[in-house]
Amino acid sequence: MSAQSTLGTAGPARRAGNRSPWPWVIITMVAVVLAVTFVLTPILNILIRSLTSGEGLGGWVRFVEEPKYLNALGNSLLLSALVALIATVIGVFLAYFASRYRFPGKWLFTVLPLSALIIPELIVAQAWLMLLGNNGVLTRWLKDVGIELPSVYGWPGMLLVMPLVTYPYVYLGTLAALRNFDSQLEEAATSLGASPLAARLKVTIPTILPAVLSTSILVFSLTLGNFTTATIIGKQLDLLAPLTYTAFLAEMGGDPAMQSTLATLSIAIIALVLLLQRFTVDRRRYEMVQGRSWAPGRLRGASGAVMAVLAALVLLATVLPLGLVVVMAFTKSSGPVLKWGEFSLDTFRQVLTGDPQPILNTLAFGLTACAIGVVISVVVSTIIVKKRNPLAPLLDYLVMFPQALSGTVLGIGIVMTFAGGIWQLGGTAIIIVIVLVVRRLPHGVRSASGILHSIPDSIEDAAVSLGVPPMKSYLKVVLPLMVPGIAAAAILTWVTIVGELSASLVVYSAGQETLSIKVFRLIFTGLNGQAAVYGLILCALAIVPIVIATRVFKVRLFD
Amino acid sequence: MTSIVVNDLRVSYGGADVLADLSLEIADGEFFPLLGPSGCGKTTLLRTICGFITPSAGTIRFGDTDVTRVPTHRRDIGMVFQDYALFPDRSVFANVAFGLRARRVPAAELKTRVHEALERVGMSGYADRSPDALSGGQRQRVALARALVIRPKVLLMDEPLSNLDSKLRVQVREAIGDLQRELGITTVFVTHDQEEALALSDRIAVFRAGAIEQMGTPSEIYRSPRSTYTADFIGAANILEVRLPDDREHQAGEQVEFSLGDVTLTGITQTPVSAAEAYAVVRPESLSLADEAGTSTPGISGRVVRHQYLGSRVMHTVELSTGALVEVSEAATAATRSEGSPVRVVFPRDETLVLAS
Repeated sequence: MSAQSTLGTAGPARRAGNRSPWPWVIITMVAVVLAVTFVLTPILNILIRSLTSGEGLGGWVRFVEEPKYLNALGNSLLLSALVALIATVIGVFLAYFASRYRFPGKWLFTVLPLSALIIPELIVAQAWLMLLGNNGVLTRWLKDVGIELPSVYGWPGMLLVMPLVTYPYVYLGTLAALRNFDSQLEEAATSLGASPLAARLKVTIPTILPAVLSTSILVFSLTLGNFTTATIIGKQLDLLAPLTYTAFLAEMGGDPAMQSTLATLSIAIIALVLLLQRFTVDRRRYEMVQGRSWAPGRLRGASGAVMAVLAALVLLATVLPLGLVVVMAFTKSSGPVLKWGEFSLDTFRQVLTGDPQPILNTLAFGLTACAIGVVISVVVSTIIVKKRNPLAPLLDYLVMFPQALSGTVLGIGIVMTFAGGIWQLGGTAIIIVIVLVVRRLPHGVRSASGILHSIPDSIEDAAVSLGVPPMKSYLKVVLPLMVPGIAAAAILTWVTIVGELSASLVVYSAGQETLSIKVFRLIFTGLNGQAAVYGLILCALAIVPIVIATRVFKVRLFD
Repeated sequence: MTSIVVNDLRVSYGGADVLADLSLEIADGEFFPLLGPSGCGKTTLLRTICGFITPSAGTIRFGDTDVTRVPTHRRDIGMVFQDYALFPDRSVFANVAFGLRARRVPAAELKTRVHEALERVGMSGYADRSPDALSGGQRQRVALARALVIRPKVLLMDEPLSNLDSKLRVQVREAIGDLQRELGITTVFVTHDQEEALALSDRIAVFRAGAIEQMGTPSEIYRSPRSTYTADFIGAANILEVRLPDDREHQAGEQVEFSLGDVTLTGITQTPVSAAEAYAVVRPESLSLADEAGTSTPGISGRVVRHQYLGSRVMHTVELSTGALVEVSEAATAATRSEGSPVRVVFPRDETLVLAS
């Protein structure tokens, strides 16, 4: 979720008057109709309902009158700002450390932060709860030794877990910026009389800052829309996303006044943030003519040791949840009680024989949504990048809209639009697939556009000039070149779809629990053993395809 | 036998004409460069001939066939791109065979023709390579083989040499020239490099803002440019604003007197000139330097501001008494004049061209 649209990056202007073959014009019109239906209508529905339902002005009067809501707004903004700050500090530090120094075990720095993006947030939250919650392993162990930990619920837990979930975005963004940075710029500055420190302050930092800031903003908006951790660890703390979901549950079947008001508020804030980013940070992004990065130096001295320890701690905290879930899944449990130190496969057996449905649901919904999403992304990005026509900019904007929606808000919009009315999709599997596809649409289109930009137009022209009709040329020459990129995008889409919770939680009905919904509900009933088993299966579904793709098929996932 | 006849062609993007009523006839077997700076419409013309761009008015004929409405893939053209546009996931052989497969050429014939084409461009040992494993010059040779193997009616090249370094550029340029003469295929060639155009062709079209500024043999264009634009674009030229004694109409080819500052000189009009303001164009090698003392020859006094020794030639930059700068290129045997020394710049009347614009 980042604010860049693919707009404005179309092919060279001289293609403007080229033949626009009819098939693509028709496909574009179909795509626009689909985008209006599945993206624009849900948003409009939310906005309209927030003003028309309830007793006058939707829930806005109640929002101002009840302190709970204003409180939640304040908490959410403060939390998002703090999390963005902490995540930025961690991410930048780790990126600096990884790019400037040589040390044994450096490969861990390329793998482990990524794992934080792959392990579903739900699992991370659950694991920290098992460790530091009221009944957590560490809490009890420390209590036995006589140390009383403050409660992890609310602010402390949120400020611990959210940065650990989000710092990899900053880390990867900063690392890319540092890699592209042309160290000759620093040399140029020093040759012009700047001291090395001044060169770094005045040349390096300003050129890298925009890339870093845009990832910080991403973290801000992710935290603002965050439902999962906010519900599991935030608990009594009033925050926007959980409150929106509660309002949705309370108004189920009734007048959607409060949910649409809160949803509108969250759309407005994220849209504002994205706009600000577009007009400030993005304006200041620089193209490096050539990137000759620094040669990494040796790590030494006391400061080196301190940095190494801190970096190791971050990485440890990143993978700890996965380790804990593995242990928990194989630990003997009776009801909610985990018998630490005693291992058994009983819980696994219970889950697989008792209720394997969530696994099947996740596979069915996830694969369907992934396939549909890939096809739509390829078609839409082709229209936007290669076959521009007057409708293309509109389509470009429409498909990027879901960026401004948190999962909960998107779910509410989809339910309002498709559950009843002429669609009557409430309670069907289709509505879950719709929610998953729309949620991933901006990412899918952006990665497919990236691939298409790297394929020169002349390739297709060459095929046409050699006697192959245009549409066939596209399918025969351009599409095969997109395959590796599409495969990478599809796998990343799959990973996020598998772990998706907040939007599917809003739209699902009984019998359609996915793995993440199942884990979420088990955590709340306290059946942590079972939750860990489902969670481990969830992690496996995310990690195994990545391992196979990168090891066996040599797909390059993270460039 | 295919000539290319372009008739009143117009191409507009969003209301602006990129090509305005352009007409042009390229003879069968001709090698025809479209020369001009970027944005002048030469690539647009090429892409319109290819069929990638649909004109808003006018026609294009290949020989007797009107191809204006024929889609690219049925025009039977060979196209060579600036960035080679080789299919990166196919071998050299598969790249060259691509157009033949589209034409359903039987396997045995296909194989012979591909190998023939590769041999012709000097790439016969490379059939199994991937394009990634080739150098820029080799890639462009493969691209040329791919375009020629289908025996197209016309060969169209969009800046085929501009991604190559200067030495390779000359090599590939010569290879293209030899092949074209050997095959006698009508070829249109877009370039912004005047040397390429001069070296390769019998006739050149110089483009300006969507129209042909001047068309002719390389020496015609070099010796008798009809505008300062052409004079400046082809080769080096000294272009001076001058005044004619009156605004009488002068025919082209007339000998006229004009004044440059307070000196009166003589030149030959290249186009009809009817205003008092005009331009004098002289090539640096047409000018010569004389000592300030000798006043018998028609010339204008000035001062040397720069002196460059270029091996076979010596180049002086002279600031004229009017304040204008001119460049004078003389054989290296001419007297070397130090910077600051006063000189007289001699304008030969037959090689001083007077132009209206």
